[in-house]
Amino acid sequence: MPMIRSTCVHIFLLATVCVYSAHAATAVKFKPQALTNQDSKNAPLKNPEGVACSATSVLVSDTGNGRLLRYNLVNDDLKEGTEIRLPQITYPLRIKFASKGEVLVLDGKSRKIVRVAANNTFVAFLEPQNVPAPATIVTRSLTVDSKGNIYLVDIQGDRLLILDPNGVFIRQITFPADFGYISDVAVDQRGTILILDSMKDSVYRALVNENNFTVMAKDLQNYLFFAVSIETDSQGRVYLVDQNDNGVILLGQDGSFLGRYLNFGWKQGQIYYPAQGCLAGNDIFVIADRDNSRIQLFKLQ
Amino acid sequence: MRVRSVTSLLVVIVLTVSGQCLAVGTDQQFNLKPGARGNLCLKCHDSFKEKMARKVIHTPLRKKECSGCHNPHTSSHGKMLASSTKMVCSLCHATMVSAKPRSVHKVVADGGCMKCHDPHSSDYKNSLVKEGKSLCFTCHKSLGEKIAKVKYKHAPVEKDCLSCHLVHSSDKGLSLLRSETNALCLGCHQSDKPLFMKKHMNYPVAKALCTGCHNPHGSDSPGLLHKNVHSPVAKRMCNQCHMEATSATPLKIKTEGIGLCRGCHNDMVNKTFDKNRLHWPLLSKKGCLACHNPHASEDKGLLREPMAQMCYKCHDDTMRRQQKNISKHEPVAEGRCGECHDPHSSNFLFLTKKDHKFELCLNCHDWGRHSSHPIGEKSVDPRNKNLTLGCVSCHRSHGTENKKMFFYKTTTEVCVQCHEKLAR
Repeated sequence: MPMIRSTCVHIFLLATVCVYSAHAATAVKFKPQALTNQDSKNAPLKNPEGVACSATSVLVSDTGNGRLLRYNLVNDDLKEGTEIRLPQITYPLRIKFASKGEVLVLDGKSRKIVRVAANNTFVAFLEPQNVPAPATIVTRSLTVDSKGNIYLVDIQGDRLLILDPNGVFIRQITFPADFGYISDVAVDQRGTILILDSMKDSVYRALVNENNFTVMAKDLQNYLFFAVSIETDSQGRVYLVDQNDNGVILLGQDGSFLGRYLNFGWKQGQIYYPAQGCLAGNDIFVIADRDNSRIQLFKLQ
Repeated sequence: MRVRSVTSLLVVIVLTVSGQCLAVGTDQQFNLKPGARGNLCLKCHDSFKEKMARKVIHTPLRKKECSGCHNPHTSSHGKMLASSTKMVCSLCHATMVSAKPRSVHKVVADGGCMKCHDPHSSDYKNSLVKEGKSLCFTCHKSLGEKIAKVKYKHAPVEKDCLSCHLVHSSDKGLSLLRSETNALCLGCHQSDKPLFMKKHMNYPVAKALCTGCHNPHGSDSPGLLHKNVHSPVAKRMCNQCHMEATSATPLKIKTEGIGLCRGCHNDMVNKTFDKNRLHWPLLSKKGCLACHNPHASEDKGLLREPMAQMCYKCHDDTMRRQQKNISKHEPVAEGRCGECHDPHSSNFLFLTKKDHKFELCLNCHDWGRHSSHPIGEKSVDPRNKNLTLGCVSCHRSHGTENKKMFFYKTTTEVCVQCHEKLAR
């Protein structure tokens, strides 16, 4: 009898640990880690709308000042903040690291994509080649996968364009039927493409080599107002930055809602019309805190 | 043991059957005396004598089956109804909405049957509370007023709304139309008649959308054209934008996207594209047509819909928040989005006409210049040294759930955000 009881206790404990572990694998805490609101010369940021992350550095679109800033990620904090001012970039919005240490910057005024070298010089405009009609491309957002392939959200052609690192057309995927307004794209480590529909509060996905998008998560209006940025982590979880309701929404690999984080405000840890988020090394989530004119770092725990 | 289980089964069956009877209310259910049904109710409900004298009497009442809809003892619903309005009516009228409707009358979907029908009796067909158009215009009041005032009237509208619309749902048309818009129009207006063709410059408009130019409810313009007509349409210069009527593709436009509009609106397009921030839909496949009707519209600027409806189609979150707000900014509440925003482009965040933090507010609020509180470019926000103090440091421009469009519930809460030492 005592043996049966102890076996039951062990099974109960094991089940508890399993449930807890499963929960721990999905739940996340956003701990305010650091913030920066100035460059290396102590000049203030103004309404930054873009951030790009790598393991060791963070590039910022300092939109209101018409420049880029390159920060080093040291001890989970941003250091330096070297100014990159180029005549080809007057109103930088979205920004992504590309291959060879380059950065791709979407300029809001010219609506062109600018290639910036690792040494902070202008390389060229990204000119997509061999793209099928329509000839005009209007890029709303972009991302780059681990192979350096470039993904452009083309709102003129209602499609996602996939280009090789040199800008040569590989393939395209048309937006799903009845889409509202596609505002951002992300690609996870397995090559799954995710697009964000800000108007329909939905996320669509296309698995590697799939030629159409299917719904991953829809009717998220109970959790968000108007998401504008999408990012994924190594576990395939999805982070949506909700610009109009000042928060970050976390979705599981299957599109299930896992949590909503952060709140509106001016103090550290609070955000005000965030524009873009990215994941840097060491589980740091970086947010372009636009209307607070600063960049905030959150440690994911 | 077996007897007990059989008895239990019988009890369950009896309860189930009696439960079903409850819905229709029988004499047995209430154990009424013979001949008491209905008459018993009418003894107290004296006013029903008048109702019973009307031309159309609802079948249950005619049969004096009051308990068909009402529970004479207790009820959780108004008027002692046995169930909610929607449920009570659907017990007998289950098929008022078809299986796959293209449009459903909202009042039907919401179960508001009694907004149109009198559940007891009426002097009008189908037990309607009013006759013909006057019933429709009870809810569609502004439309009724417009129709009454217009100079050029559409004959079927004068007759009855039901000439074109169905009342409960439609399988074929939007807005409860009896069929697709054009099919409905062409049922009367034959497009192959010489006069019809001449009026439409020989373009095959039967393949287009009639309501793109015409207001089927009537208009102050000849030809029932919408209130605002695009200049080339008014001048019958269709070929300014479309291919020639004699071409193989007469309805095709000469240039795709914004390029076509630029031909005439060059200055405006140049000004728009000279700004830092563009309204993204302008750059989408639809271009200008995302918001504007290129032919004619009831709304200023040839907007496809009234401004608020137009904006809220995409900015649904703004509307959802607005519904929660206690204090509402007047232009927002009245749908005058263009008062503060430039819907095409701007050099400012939120596509505002001026900087939204302070300058924009001064367009209407002179008080801003006389505020004793530090405000403006030289006043640094103590919460964040990169920000300066503006109206939006304390107020949310569209409104909030709090008084005075404050971000926080009480004035004290607002003040202590910066004046932390004063916090208690």
